Amino acid sequence: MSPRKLLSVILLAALPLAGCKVISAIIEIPSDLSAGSSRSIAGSFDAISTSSGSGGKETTPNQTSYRLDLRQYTAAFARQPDGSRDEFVRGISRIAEDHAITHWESEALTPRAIGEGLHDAKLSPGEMDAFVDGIGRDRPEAQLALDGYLHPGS
Amino acid sequence: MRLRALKLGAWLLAVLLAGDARSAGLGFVYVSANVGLASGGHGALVAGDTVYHLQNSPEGLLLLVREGWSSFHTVYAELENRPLVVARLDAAPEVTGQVEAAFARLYVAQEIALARRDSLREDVAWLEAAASGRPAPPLRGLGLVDPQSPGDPDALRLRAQAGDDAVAALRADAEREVESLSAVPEPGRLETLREALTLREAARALDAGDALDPAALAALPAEVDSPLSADERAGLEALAQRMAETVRELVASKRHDRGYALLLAQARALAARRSLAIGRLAVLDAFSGTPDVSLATDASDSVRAKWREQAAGLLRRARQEVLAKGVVDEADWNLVEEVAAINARDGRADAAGQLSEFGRRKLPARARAVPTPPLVGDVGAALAAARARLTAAEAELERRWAYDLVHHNCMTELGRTTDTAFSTPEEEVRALGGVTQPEGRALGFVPFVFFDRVRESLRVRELAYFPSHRERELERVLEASPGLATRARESLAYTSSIYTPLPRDSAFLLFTDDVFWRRPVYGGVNLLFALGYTGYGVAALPFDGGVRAKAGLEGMLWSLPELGFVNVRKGSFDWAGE
Repeated sequence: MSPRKLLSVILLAALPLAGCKVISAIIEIPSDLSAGSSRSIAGSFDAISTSSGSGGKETTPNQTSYRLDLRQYTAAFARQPDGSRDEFVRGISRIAEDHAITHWESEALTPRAIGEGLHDAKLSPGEMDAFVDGIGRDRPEAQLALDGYLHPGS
Repeated sequence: MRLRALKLGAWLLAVLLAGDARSAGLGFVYVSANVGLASGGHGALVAGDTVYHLQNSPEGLLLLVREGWSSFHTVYAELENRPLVVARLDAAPEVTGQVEAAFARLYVAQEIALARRDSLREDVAWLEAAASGRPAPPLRGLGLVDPQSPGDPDALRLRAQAGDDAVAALRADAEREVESLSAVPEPGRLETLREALTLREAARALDAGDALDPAALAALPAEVDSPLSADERAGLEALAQRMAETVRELVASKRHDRGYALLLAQARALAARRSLAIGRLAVLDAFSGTPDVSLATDASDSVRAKWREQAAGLLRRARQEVLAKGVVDEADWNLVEEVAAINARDGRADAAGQLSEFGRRKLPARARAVPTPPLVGDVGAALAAARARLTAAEAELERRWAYDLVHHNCMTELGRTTDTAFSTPEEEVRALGGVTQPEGRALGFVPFVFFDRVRESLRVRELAYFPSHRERELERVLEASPGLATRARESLAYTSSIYTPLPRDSAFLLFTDDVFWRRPVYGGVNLLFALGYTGYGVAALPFDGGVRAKAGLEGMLWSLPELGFVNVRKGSFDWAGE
């Protein structure tokens, strides 16, 4: 029996002893949590430094993941048969707060990601026109949403 | 046998050639086993510099964690002392994007479902309070300002900047909204009532010119509380102006849930003004909205001192990268608040909360209770309905994401989520060379089996090996002082210059992760040592609460695989430097 097969057998045999935590990937040691969080913050400072070094042209990982999350959220919400405007707004707030953003209306990434999500949800051009008219076609956020719809990033 | 030797050779070559292979593209990560909760190994997906992996939350849900490679490596390879292997795939950039989008879908689905559950829990708490005549639970963010201290000059200036009439109108509208909503204690509308109450309090605080509540600030230790430089003063002035503009925009906004954002912007503006007035940093405490968590630890004094040093270093970095450069973006400023909160807690970044919070940003959200209008109607019926909704939501969470060793663990969901990036198995085969989690194959839930299949089935471009902390340090020590004596010293847990025995690692004498043929002999020695240690632990029971006896018993358990050439136990660390 190879060592790896033996380990499988041992792990399976140990299940009654260890419950279902043998392969559960829990982090519960304070030093791990503390170091992980600290390293994560240090990484964010690196990203800010790189971004400000590029004159703000380079997006930070936080901005990238905010855009990606909001795009996916919008697409999923748009595909639902029901769902109110208030629910949609609450969802945006929750996702934005995960990225430390509370005033998400002022973020240019917000309408752009919403437009991309509506593209992914296969909103028809007519429906998109109605959406843009609802915001106010001449407003910058409407144009950003339309741009996201017409030219979604990969 | 020959094939096996060839495979081993290819593996070793890949290991030797391994560079920083994580820097681009898509890959799967195998994390070696260690004792305790890590005994089965772990796995992750890496895309660029972002790592995606699933962790079992304290409430038994398997939740997606998304973090940078550096923090993942620090925790798993350095502190948990587990070597990592990355199988980098030959995949096009658009495929990487597709897979990342699939993980973002999972992240968002979990976040929204958890938010709904949290809201229903609050509904139940509110209705229970109403049914028993108790005050309603506190609302987050309200404790950032102090209603007992109205007329603060900086706060009144904020009101003027937002427009006195606009603020008064917002306050009147919010009062009316609260009155109309409290007449209907229907569970679906309680969240709207809480939002309306928060907005009313934010408008009232702005209108009355409430001062910042000093308890909302992070208490910085004297050693990091240095006076502001000229650049930092300029940065704070820019922040105060930006926050005043945010307050003005939020007053004019039609967003129904903007009350918390408005309170936070007010508090940030007031904290910036206070900093400028006192010439030292006054920052909101980012962890103030998090329930108190136990900070008990068995870490040594020297490790605690290093945590404090690290936190102080982060604050210096925050002042340099954010404050002095006038970076007043909301998300960037929040990093300063998080670092201040860590410094205020003896360098403990884990004070932010338990596992389910790991990787999420923390916003200052100090809560306060306010008198609320009595709920009109049949509160008992509303409470029963709210409880039923909560039970249904919790059942749905369990149905979708409850941890199950064989069917829903960190590996099965890693594979399934990757598969959802593609509309058909054929598309996945074209993109990655194979299907990640083919249904019906046994033992796919075991991390190394999963990883072996990735290597065999998918288009793997290269394998990169990232040594554990001890492996790396041992190489350094042996380079500086080669010889049998050094090797012998480092192979013993109690004489090693790299490792300090910790009870959570179980009782053992000899490291077996860096030997193979001698492993069963070492395992036998470890077994005998652990047996003796258990006896010592039994004698020490009245004094240590069973810590040593438990370490001894676990030491015996984890010596058994070593008798069969298998190493699981590697030791772990409380500190691994930068």
